[in-house]
Amino acid sequence: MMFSILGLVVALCSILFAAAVCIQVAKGRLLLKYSLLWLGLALVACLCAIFPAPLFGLAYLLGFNVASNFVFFLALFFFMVIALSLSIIVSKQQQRAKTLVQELALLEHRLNSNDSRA
Amino acid sequence: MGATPKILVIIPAYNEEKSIVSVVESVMNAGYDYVVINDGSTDSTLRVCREHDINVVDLKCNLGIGGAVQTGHKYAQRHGYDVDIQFDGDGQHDASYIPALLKGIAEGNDLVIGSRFLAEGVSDFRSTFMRRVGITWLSKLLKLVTGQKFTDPTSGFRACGPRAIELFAKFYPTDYPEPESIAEAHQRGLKVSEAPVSMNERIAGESSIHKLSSIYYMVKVTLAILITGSIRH
Repeated sequence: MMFSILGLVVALCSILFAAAVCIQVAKGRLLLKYSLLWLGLALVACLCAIFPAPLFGLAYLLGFNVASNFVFFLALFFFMVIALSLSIIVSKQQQRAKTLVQELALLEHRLNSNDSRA
Repeated sequence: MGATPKILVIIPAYNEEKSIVSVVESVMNAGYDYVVINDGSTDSTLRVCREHDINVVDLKCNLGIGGAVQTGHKYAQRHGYDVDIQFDGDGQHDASYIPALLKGIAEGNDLVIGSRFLAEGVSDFRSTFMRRVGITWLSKLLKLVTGQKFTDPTSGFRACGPRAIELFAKFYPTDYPEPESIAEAHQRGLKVSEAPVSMNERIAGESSIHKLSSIYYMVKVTLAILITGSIRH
């Protein structure tokens, strides 16, 4: 199979993207468990760029007139999943922060009242 | 619960430097233990409390009324209180109505809501038309979810028995928790009732429900009640 210029560019970008993600993980700026989704995305994009036939086939099967529309559809769906998972993570963080602030305040209160009794 | 339950008054305070001392004095004069929860106030509420030797738990960040009240429930639980009473720091509530709430707890209820609209014409609390519409809507919604009528679902003047304290120390809604916590308590099989109270105009401070965000508030609370009401525990 011959590589198109576009396929080559996409594959290269995917590899660079995956490398950037790995560097963030190595530097401790991104947790491994949150990096997996992005690495998975890079892998899929890279595979589709090198072997585009299944992508075109699937797009045709599903009734997309243009394969690029199928790609846009997938990308949009993927980002919505990521956005939702980020909202869930933020909510969890907020719960934890709330509990910490409460416990800190109660602990400080206990320390202060011990001091005044001593 | 023993013959004389230990009672704690929880006073959440966000920027209440002008009213907090008189509110605390009114509660102390009525003879109750209290704790002020300073919800990350940006004014000198904390300094005023320390200067007057007021028993205060200081939240370093503003958690909102839900997080502040929950801190009070945790405090009550850890200090062995049987009953706790939520009492606004802005002077809106009147300590002379606390016994009416306690009576409801003594009668076997887990959560007793102080209602402005049960009392026969004693309330001098003026309410705007839009607020009445909102309250009616929430009241209907709670009726739908719990099958019980609540005349004043947004009231922050309420008493919790041991089971409610235990529940709310663990789970308490975050943003505008009053109506939602009624649904939550009912859903967990707690007995909820109302007692007639009268409320004053605020001495100082502002309602946590602002005009601009009131539609957002209604949407959120409506969703919260419907979701809480549809979950079986």
